[in-house]
Amino acid sequence: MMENKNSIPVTVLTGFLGSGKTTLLNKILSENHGKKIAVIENEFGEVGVDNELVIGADEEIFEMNNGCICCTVRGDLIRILDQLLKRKDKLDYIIVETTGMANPAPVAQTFWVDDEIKDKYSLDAIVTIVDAKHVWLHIDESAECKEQIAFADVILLNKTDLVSAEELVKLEKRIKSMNANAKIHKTQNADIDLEHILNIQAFDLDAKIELNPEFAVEEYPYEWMGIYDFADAEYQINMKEGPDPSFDLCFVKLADTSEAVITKAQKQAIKTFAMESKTLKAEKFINTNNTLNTLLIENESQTFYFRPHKAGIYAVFTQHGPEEFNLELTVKNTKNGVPTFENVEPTLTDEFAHNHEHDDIISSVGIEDTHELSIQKVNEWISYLLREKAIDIFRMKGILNIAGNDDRFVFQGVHMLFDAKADRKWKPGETRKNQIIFIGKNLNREELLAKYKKCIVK
Amino acid sequence: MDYQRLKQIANAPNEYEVWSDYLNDYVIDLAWSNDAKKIIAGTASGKVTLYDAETGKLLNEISAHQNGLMSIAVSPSKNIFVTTGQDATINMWNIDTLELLNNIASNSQWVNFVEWSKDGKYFTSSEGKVVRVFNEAGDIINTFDQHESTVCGIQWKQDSYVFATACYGGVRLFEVGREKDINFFEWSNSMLSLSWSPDGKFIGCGTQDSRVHFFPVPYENGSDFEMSGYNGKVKLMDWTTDSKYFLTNCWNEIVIWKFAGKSPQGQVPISINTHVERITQVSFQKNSACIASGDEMGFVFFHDTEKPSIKNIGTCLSQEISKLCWSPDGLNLAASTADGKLVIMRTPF
Repeated sequence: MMENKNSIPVTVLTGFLGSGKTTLLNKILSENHGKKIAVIENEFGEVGVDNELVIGADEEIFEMNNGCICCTVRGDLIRILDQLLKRKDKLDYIIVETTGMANPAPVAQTFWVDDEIKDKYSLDAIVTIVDAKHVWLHIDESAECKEQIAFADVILLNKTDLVSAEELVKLEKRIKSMNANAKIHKTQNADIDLEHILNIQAFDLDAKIELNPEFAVEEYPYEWMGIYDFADAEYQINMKEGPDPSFDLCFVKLADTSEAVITKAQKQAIKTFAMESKTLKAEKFINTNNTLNTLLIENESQTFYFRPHKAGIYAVFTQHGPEEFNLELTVKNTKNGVPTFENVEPTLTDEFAHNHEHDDIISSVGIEDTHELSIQKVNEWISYLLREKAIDIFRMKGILNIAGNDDRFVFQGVHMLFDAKADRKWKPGETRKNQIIFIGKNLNREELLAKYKKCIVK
Repeated sequence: MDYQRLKQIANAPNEYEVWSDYLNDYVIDLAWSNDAKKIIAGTASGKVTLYDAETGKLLNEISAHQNGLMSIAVSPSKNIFVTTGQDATINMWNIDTLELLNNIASNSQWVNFVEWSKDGKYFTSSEGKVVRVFNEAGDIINTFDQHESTVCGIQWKQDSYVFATACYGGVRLFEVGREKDINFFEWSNSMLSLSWSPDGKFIGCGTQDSRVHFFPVPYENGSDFEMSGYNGKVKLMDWTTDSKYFLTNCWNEIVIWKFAGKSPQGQVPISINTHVERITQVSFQKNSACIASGDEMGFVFFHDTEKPSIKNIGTCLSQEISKLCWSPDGLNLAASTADGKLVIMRTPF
């Protein structure tokens, strides 16, 4: 949203009943922060009704254009915000609290669809409070709970004192798998500095848009990793037919086998898996230097080769489990002029389960890559997404490296509503990279990646 | 639009001004006493100020509501007026003395407005989803709570105790003393405003998606129709006293439909394009087709629907026009701004 700088920022506060919304709002209203903050609370709100800056709303949701879900907005909010302009002193912030059972989309969309509101207010961020203990009762069942997490720019994991450290790690992983872009804060008793929830500018393309898509366990694009110590020798991979006519893999060189190094390599491999792959037929040599290799499995049995570009420890990431293709790795040794092949076993392995069990699973798909993109192809792709996938894509954000353009190109969207602009010049020495994040339900990572790759300028 | 002329108007002294004062607060609402001798101004902080309309002398001042003020409504028959506020109260006052006659509590924090019946015997309130009917002493006669969302418009029918309400989902007709709505014109849309023609034949509703929906009265299923093509929301609507013209605002344009007893479908409306910025106030002079309109930049213009060639007659008050209010005799116009200016002007027509 590119509105004037005089607009009043609005934060949307979502979260289930009992998650701590009321506690947080009472703190905001009673704290001595010197700001004039109005709270528009939901119909069943419990925050001080005798406070002139607390206004009750009746959550009147309607469709701006017949039947279009993406133009669903909040009529009562439009009326209240209109009235709130009629004051001598300007408000510094407005917080809109939604009921526990509300989908945040209509509130967010109100700030895009309504011309007058767009003129005077700017949607700042969606903040979701999660009850760290009780969220497990809803996270698998309730569409609203999932939507609130998926839409969030900021998530407060509240009541962390009621759960163990392990439970908290598990919850954080789960939340990151749904929404990789939200900033997560852990709180007790909804205690949080206001700077973390107000003036975030998450919807403002004029603000310094930075993406930091962190990828969570369930979202790895590979299923298997093996750590090997490779010598400066020729290796051979024998493979049988498997469940797929091709098999993607990549190598990441490791300094050591510490957990930190392996974690970093896993993130590197995610990025590599998002890049254009090199397709190899049988008998070809595999690239070991951070390249995605697509091995074509065309025969009952085939062999590929590789020679590490440097001897040492490597992590090998594979799209499918090696056993699904009866994969065998051997090293070629030449003794007295006679080549022998010895089996090579990994020193450590890890498996990464795919997460396709639920139909309406909410997830994030992140893309990070340094290729230049065709503006025309990007336009076609985004148009396709808005036309065909907008109901499933709740939020999307991106920074793009457009071919022939010295400006960063930024965009963001909520369902069918979309903003894009040239943002600033790439700085000298800055890596021009594309960073895109999609958050939504039923996202098909492979399809998104395939379509993305078609935008790359060859 | 003639920008050169606008610039001239902005720089010229206000030739229509009778007197002016500065209230130093957002003026939410204005109202004239029935004899046109007094003017009441209510501001955002809840203060009500009473002026001698002829001289501009400040007669009295009170804090009418603890939080913000929402509206002022003068009884058409007695020397009393009602204010509503953001403090969940409805207050009744004596115009001459500013004595508090009645203080009525509401369950809704914001009492949006009240509307008097044409003879001044009753008034209705919009209190969120609830509408109540009071007699002129402030006693509750009816409480209606069947609205789906906040009631955005109420208007009484001439010579009757029937009134119409609009909220999300349709228009309802009520009659004083009857327990339930006597009619419901169902229509799924979010409403902004309601205006009932003085001849009682049409109810027009402005909607959030920039249309005006009409219900002919008496209503038959399917007889409603719509005027679309607006490039902005229609919040302001008004009828001439003879129900011949119906005006609507649409961002910086005034669109006027000719009714003359029948529906204006298919006709090309009269369009007045004098304003450059969004129109915030517009209404007809009583018993005429003359219009006063004000915009976000502070321009106030006078137009005559039947002489559209007379253009650019007006002045500029430099700040958003928050309220325009014709005197009951139609000779003067009270105008106020978002920064607290109050100006009484003599109409050029």
